[in-house]
Amino acid sequence: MRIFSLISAIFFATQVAAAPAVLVKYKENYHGYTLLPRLSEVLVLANEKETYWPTTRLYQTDVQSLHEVELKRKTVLQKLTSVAHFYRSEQKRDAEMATLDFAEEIKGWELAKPMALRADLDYVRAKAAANPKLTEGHYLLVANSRPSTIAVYGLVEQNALALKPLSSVRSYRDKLSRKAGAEQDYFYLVNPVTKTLKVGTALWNLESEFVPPWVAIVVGFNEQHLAKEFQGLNLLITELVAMKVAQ
Amino acid sequence: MKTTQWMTAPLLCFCSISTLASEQFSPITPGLTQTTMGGTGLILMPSARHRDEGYFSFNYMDNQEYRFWSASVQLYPWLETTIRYSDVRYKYFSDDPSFSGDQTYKDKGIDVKFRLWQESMYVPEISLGFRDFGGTGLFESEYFAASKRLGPVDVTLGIGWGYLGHKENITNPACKLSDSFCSRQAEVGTGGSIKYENFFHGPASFYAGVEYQTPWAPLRLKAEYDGNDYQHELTGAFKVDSDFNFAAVYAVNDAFDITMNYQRGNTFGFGFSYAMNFHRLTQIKLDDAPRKLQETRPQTPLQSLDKQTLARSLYQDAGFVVLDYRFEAEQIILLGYQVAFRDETVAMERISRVLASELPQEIKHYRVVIESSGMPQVETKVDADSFVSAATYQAPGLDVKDSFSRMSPKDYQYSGLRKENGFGYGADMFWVQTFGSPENFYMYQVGLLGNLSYQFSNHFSLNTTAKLNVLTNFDEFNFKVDSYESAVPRVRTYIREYVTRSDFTMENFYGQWRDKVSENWYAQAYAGYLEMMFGGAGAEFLYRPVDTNWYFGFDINYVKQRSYEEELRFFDYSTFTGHASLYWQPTSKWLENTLITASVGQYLAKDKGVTVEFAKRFDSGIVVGAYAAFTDMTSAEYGEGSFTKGFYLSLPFDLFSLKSSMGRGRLPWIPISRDGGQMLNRPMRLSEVTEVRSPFIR
Repeated sequence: MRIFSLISAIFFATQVAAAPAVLVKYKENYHGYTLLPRLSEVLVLANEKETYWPTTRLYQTDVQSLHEVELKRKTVLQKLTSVAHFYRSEQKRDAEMATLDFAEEIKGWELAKPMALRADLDYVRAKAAANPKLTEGHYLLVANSRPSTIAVYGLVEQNALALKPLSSVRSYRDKLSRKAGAEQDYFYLVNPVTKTLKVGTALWNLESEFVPPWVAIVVGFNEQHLAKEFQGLNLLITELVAMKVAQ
Repeated sequence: MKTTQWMTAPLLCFCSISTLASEQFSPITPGLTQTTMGGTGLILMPSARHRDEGYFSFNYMDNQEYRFWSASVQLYPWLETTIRYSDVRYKYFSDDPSFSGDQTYKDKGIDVKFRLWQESMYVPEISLGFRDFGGTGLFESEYFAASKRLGPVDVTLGIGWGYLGHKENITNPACKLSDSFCSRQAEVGTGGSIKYENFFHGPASFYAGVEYQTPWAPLRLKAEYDGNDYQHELTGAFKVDSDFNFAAVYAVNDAFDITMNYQRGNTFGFGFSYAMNFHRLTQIKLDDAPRKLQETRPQTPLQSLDKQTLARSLYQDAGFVVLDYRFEAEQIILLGYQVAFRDETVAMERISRVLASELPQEIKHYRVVIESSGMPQVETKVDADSFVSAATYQAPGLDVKDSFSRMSPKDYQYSGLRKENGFGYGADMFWVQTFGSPENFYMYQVGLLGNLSYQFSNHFSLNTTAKLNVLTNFDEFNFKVDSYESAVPRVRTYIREYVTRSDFTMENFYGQWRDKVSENWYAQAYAGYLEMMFGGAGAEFLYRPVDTNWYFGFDINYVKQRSYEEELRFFDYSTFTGHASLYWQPTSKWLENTLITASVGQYLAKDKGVTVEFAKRFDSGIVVGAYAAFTDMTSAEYGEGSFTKGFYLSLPFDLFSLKSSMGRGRLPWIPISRDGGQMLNRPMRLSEVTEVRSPFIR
C-alpha cells in the first residue's frame, strides 16, 4: 500500500511537471514554465549572438488566440471577395485580379496573436514596466538576425524591398510597383508592438518618416474608389499583417 | 491651488524647458515659416497653412518702417491665432513730448486664420483669415488663401481685402453681389471694436508666392507677389520698386529661425522666430523615485502600524498632506490634499504605493479624500489587490489607473486628528504688467502678497492680504485718471490711483463661510474688503458633480467702491452685482480640451450682459484663454476698446521646477481695460476651489 502511494505521488508530481503554466515554442523546441515567467525569462531563450531584438516577436498561440486571428483572417477574406465582385461589376479586371491574388496570398499566411510588448532583452531588463509576467498559455517566440529586406504586402508587385539603412519613405516609394486599385498617395508602416502609421508618399504629402527594419510596408486599397461598405478595409488589412508570424 | 498673477520674460523661462525631440529620424521636413507680421505664411502675405496643434511661435521682425513683435499659437488643427504689437518707427506715440516722450507709435493687433479645407491630392489646403480685426485697423485685412505642396515647393495663391488688397489688381468679387461691397471705410479708428461692416469690402487683390525647402535642410527660400501697393501707410506712401518680395529663412535648430528679406525692391528686413509646441513641453524632474513594491504586502498587524510614520511617508514620497484618517473594516480613509504632483494618476499611484508597502494585506481598499478650503472634493477608491498586481506588472497590459475609481466623498467621521481652528499664513509673489502705455511701452509692478488668516472652524475664517511693492516703474505715469469724458461709473479706471497710492496696502480683509452643503452643491458667503477697489458682502453657490463636463453656479454681491485716498474708507458709489455662470467642456473633437464659460448678470458699473470665456488646455498643462464681455453699454459709453476683452496664458509652475509642484501663474494681456463689463474680483471662486471634482486645468 505504502509503495503504491509513493508511486502515485511520484506519478502525480510528474503530471504537475508535465503541465506548465506557460509553454513557449522557440525554434521548434518547447520550453515549459511551471511558475508564470517574466518576459525577460522567456527572451533569454533567444539571447544569441545573431539575434536582432527589434524584430524579435512573441505571439500567443493558445486555442482562443488562434481562433481570434482566424476570425480576423476570415473577415478580411470575405471583404476582399466582396471587393473583387465590386471590381468585376465595375469592369475593372486588373483590380479584381490584384484583389484575388492578395486574398490567395493571405490564405497562406501563418498567423498568431502578437503580444504588444517590446521583445528586447536589453530593454526589458532595464525597465520593470516592460517586463511583466506572462499569463498562462502557449506562446511562440520568433527571433532572427537583422533583416536585409523590408516585407511588403498588399496591392503591390513586390514581396520585399532591399533594406536601406537610415532611409525614409521616399527611398521605398519609388521602388514599389503598385497594382491596379492600390492607394497611390499613402502606404502603411505596420509594427505589431506600436501603432500603425499611415504615411504620405505622393508629391503633395510626402513625409520624411524613417522606415526602420522592424516594420512591414502595406500598400492598401484606394478606399475613395470603393463603396462605403469597404471603408476601413485598409485598417483591417494592417491588423492582419501585424498578426503574420515573422519568418 | 494658488494662482498668482505674474509675468516673466517668456524666452528666459522657456530656456529651462526641453522640447521633446522627435524619435523619428527625419532627413528633411518641408518647412513652414512665419510671416513678417506673425502667423504661418510667406513674407508679408499669409498662406493657407496651419501648424500642428499646440505650435507656438514668438517672432520679432524688423525693417526700415516697422518693427513687429508677435506671438502665434495653433489652438486647434483648424485655428491659428496671432497677437501682435507693431512699432511704427517714424511716428511718435503722441504729438506731446511731455505725455509720451520720444516713444514711437505702437499698435496692437489680433489675427485669426481658419482652415476650411484640408489638402488632398487634387485640392489645396484652403483657409480664411482675418488680420488686425480687433485693433485700430492699421493692417486690417481679410483673405482667402489656397496652398498646394509640390514636393519641396509650397505654392500659395490668395485674394486679400483691406491692407492686403490695396493694389486692387482684381475687381472685388463681392462687388458683383452688392455695390455696398465696393467701398471700405478707410479711417484708422481708436481700436477695440470689430468692424464687421468692412469685411470683404473695398479694393481686393490677388497675391501669390512660393516657399521652397532647399536640399540643405536648414535653408528655406520664399518669394511672393505682393497684394499691397503701400500707398496707404500711416506714415505716408512707401516707395515701391518691385511687386515682389524675397526672403531666406535659416533654421538654427528645431526651435530657432533667422530670416532676412528684401521687400518692394528697396527695403531689407530681418527677424527671428522662436518656436515650441505647448503639447510637448516637458521639464526634467529630480523627484525621488516612486516607492518600490513587493508582490506580497506586509503581514504586520494593523495595531502595530505607526500612523505618524505613514503620514510622513505619504508627504515625502507622494506629496500628500494627511489632515485626518479613519480605519474601517478592510479599508483606510485618508483626508488630505496634494502639494506636489499635479497629475492625478501619478499622485494616486504614489499614494497607493506608500499605502501598499505599509498597510497589511487585510486592508483591501484605500479611500483618498481630497479636501480644498475645508471642503471635501473628491474621493478616489483604490482596489489594493488590483493596484499591487498592476504596479508589480503581474500580467501584460495591466494599468494602475484601472484600480482607481473616483466618486463624490461620503460624509466620514474621522479620528479627530486635525485641529480645526488656528492661525494660517502664507506669501505669494505678484507681477503686474502693461504693454503699450504712452509713458513707457513696458510697465510693471513686482512685489509680495502676505496672507494671514484665523480659522474658527473648517467652515469659517477671517482672512487678510497685504501687498508690498518691491520693484515698479508705475511711478512714471504722467496722469492718473484718463481724460475720457464718461457718464459711466469709474469702477476700474482709477486703477493708476490704486496701484501708485502706497507701496504697502491692504488688498483685502474679510470674513468667509464656506461649506459643501449637499452631494454636489458648494456654497460660500463673505463680507469685508473684498478686493483692491471694492468691499461689501456676497454669496456664491455652485453645483458641480464629479467628473461632469458641465456645471453651473451663481453669485450675488452688494459692494461699495473703496477709496484710493485712504485705506479703510469707501467712496459713495455702491451697487448690486452678480452672475449666473455655466461651465462647459465640449466633447466634440473640434474643441478638445476646451472649457467655455458663460456668465450672465449685472456688472460693477450696473451694466447688464454676458461674459464669455474660452480656455484651451494643452498636454503640458499650459492654458491659453480669452474672454469678452458684451453688455448693454454702448461702444460710445464704453470708450476706447468698445468692450471688455482680454487674453491670458496660464502656466504650471511645474514646467519650471526640477521638483514636481502644484500651482500656476497667469500672464494676462488686456488690450484696454475700462469700466464696462467689469466683474467683482471675489477673494475665492468656488469654480477654482472645486477644480479637482472635474479637472480641466490638470
